Amino acid sequence: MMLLAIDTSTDSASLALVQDGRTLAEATWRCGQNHSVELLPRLTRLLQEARAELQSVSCILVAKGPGSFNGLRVGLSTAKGLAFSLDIPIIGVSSLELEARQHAENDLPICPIFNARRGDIATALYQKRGNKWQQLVPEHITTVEALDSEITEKTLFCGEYVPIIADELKKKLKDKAVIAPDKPRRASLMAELAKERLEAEDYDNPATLQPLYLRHPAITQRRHR
Amino acid sequence: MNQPEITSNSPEETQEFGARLGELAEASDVFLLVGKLGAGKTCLTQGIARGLGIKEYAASPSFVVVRELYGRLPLYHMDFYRLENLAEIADLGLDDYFYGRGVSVVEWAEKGISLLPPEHLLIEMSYVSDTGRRLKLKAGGKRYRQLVAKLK
Repeated sequence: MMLLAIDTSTDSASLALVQDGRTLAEATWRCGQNHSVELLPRLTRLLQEARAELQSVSCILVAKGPGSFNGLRVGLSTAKGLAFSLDIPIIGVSSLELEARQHAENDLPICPIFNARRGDIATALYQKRGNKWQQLVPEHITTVEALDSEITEKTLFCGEYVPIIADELKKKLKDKAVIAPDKPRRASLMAELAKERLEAEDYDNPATLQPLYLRHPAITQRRHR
Repeated sequence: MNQPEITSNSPEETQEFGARLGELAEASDVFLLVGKLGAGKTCLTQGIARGLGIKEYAASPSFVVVRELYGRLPLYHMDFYRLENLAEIADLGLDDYFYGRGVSVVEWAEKGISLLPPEHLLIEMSYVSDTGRRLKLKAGGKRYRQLVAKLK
């Protein structure tokens, strides 16, 4: 079974072809805001590298957010378009969980952080306990300031925004803040995260799968135009 | 609050002012343009584009909502004229632009002011004659107060 994993959640993008737990080819690159331009040419190259046909992909895994509005839309619409045209199922994976999973060899609770802009961050908390990977706190929007009350023990912080706020984190959380080494987010790890769902054939409905934006602007709509 | 005003006697002068603004602009700057049809919003933006070293013509983005132009910094030229309501604007996910690596200029910003970054430079453009325009500058935040001080 060949999986295609797509992650365009942030300035760092990643594509992977995974067959039976083995990564055939993977590309992880600094994409900036250029997802719509770079994603499909990269996919074509990846298929060539893996000597694979798009038609042999049997399921699409896509990072569904939180993250950049436009990045997520490019990733999800590409994933949905491919799933529709190839008539194969799709599974959405949390982008924060994928970020945390890059550091799963660590025993500490893992706190991935994305920049949610306007002074906010998007975060969650995961940990490998024994052999079991678990979510301790679901994805939510908060501030670095407020993390003080959310983080109760020594925690590993990861994500491309973390180097930018590392000093602030250390000042707030002191010894509780451990800064993870900078590792780009690799899409191939989505295959591990989706393993149980794949086995259970627990797929998402491509018509209703939505990006996890977390943030909905506080607006009131006029009743009449 | 200190609200500097600039009078422009011609489209050329409006562009000249825009060019100075473009030269002083930094990444993540947000300029909001407000004014009636013909007040010179696109004209001012063309000046900003020139100041950013953009060679390409900054056409009105009314129909496409956002156009990206590339100079010393990217210019994200947006226009809310065609947008009907706040939900439609919110749905565009423009924060990627506002907090990105370029300079954002928004025409018809009054249509979505509550969704725009609170830190910004608001420029209100109004008619004083056929070719004369008044530009009122309202700085929201320290960065823009400093910018306005440099413009004088």
